[in-house]
Amino acid sequence: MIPTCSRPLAVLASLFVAGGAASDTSREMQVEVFAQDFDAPWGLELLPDGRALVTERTAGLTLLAADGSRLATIENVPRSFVKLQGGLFDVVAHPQFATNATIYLSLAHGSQKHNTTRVVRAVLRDNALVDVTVIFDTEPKGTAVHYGGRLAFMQDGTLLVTTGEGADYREHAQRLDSLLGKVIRLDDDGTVPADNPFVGRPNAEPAIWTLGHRNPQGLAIDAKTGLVYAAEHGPRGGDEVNRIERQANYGWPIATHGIDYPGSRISPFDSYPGMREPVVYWTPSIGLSGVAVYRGAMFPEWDGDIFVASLGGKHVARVQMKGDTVVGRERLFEQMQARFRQIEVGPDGALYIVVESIGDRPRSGQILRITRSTGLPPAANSSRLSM
Amino acid sequence: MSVHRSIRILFAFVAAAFVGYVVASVLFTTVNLIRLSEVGAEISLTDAVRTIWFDLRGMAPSFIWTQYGSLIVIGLAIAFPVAALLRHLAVIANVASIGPWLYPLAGVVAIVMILVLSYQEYEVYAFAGARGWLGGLAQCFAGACAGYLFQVLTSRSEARS
Repeated sequence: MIPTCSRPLAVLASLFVAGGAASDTSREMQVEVFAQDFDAPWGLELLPDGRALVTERTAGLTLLAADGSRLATIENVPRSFVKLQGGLFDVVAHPQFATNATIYLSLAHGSQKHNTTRVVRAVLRDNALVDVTVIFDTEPKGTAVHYGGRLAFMQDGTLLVTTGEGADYREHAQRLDSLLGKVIRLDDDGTVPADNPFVGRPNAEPAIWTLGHRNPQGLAIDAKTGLVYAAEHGPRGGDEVNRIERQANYGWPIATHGIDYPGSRISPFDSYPGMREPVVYWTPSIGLSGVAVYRGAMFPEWDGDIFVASLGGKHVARVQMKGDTVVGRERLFEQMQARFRQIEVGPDGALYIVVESIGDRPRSGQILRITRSTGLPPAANSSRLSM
Repeated sequence: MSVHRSIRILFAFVAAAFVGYVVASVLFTTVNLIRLSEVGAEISLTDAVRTIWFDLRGMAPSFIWTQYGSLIVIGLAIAFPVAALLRHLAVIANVASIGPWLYPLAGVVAIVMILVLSYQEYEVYAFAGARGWLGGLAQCFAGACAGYLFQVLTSRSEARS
């Protein structure tokens, strides 16, 4: 059940009070712990009926009620390869989930020497997955890092999947015969849409939608415009949010604003002809993960802004947008000293933030629900706090 | 051992480590640039020189022991005394002919140990320029160069004393 203890509230109480530089909106925000006690939560999907699904990288899939209480641990979830950054990643519902109860999961699959980023489709029935079907696998790699693994349905009903380049295979991000370091586009049954850009090109994987990515762990569709944004975890410097467009090349590893961990250059170029520049980037890195584009009635002043979860930087970054232009940045929840994994926008405009962990505390993963303090009445069984 | 000889050995070590690091760094960058060019990057000589210079400074030995340059210095500082001991034993065992190979071999072993241990620690190649057979061989060559130079400089020192 949901927060009855006072400790999360004490943490949250300090968020903006100690922040000092918080905006007016921040002061009006009401932060509640929607659900807690997760072990490395990774993905969150808000279902049409108000329930929610949460993945835990090391544990499995949990079904939450509309008030955040735990309904069930979902059974028959495919076994994932849990090591380093590997495990169970994202969950997304089919656009017609209300009628077909179909969901999609991404996960690391295989072994240390032979693992892939995998996507499975399944039907959620009686708190278990049935008709589990593998619809996508990258080619195998021998590292347990840089999987990508974020899922999102575009407004045309096709499924986007991000894949990482596996670190040691960084140049594969530029190769059309490799599925590593890409954004992949599939039909809902896993087949490749005929209008994908590289269909029919010799020695090219037809599922590729865009290329030149490092470790894109965030993917969001702008509900108003249909534009797609991906957040990409960079090396030392060069965390990026990119606007994803058909057939575009986002540069990694030829063009990057970051350098390699030993202090060497990854490439002579921070930009390169024919390769897309990010919408916004961070140097030094803040360790990007999930991304969301805010569209909602609850915070109209955030309309069109991009929210990014920061792992190493331990905050949520709000990128203020005016049209296509970045006009400002704001750091939220810094005082919490937590690793933020994912962000979703609820149908009522509330912001749901997945906290991977707080400090070194075991099972300290949470889902925060951000509402306006003058907004909706409290959800049942949930703790609230006006900031 | 005289102070004079100690200083000469120290000088030989510093010179060998310096040259070994420079060769390692230049080859590290070169291998990275080759890999980038293989996937379509057009890299001019100016770009290459600029990148080599950046990397030489970026990975240089420092008080941060995990820097690649620092690890090379530490690795050689362990490997060369071991090679010196083996040279001494080789003379006793009447196989002094292997002596000239020992310092270059020690340099290679030092580099291999750095790469293997760092891979075990991070479970990826911490040093991207050492990836693959070309990258690995290039780094081993740098270690061999350091060892060879150390042997040459210390042999001259021995000949004079």
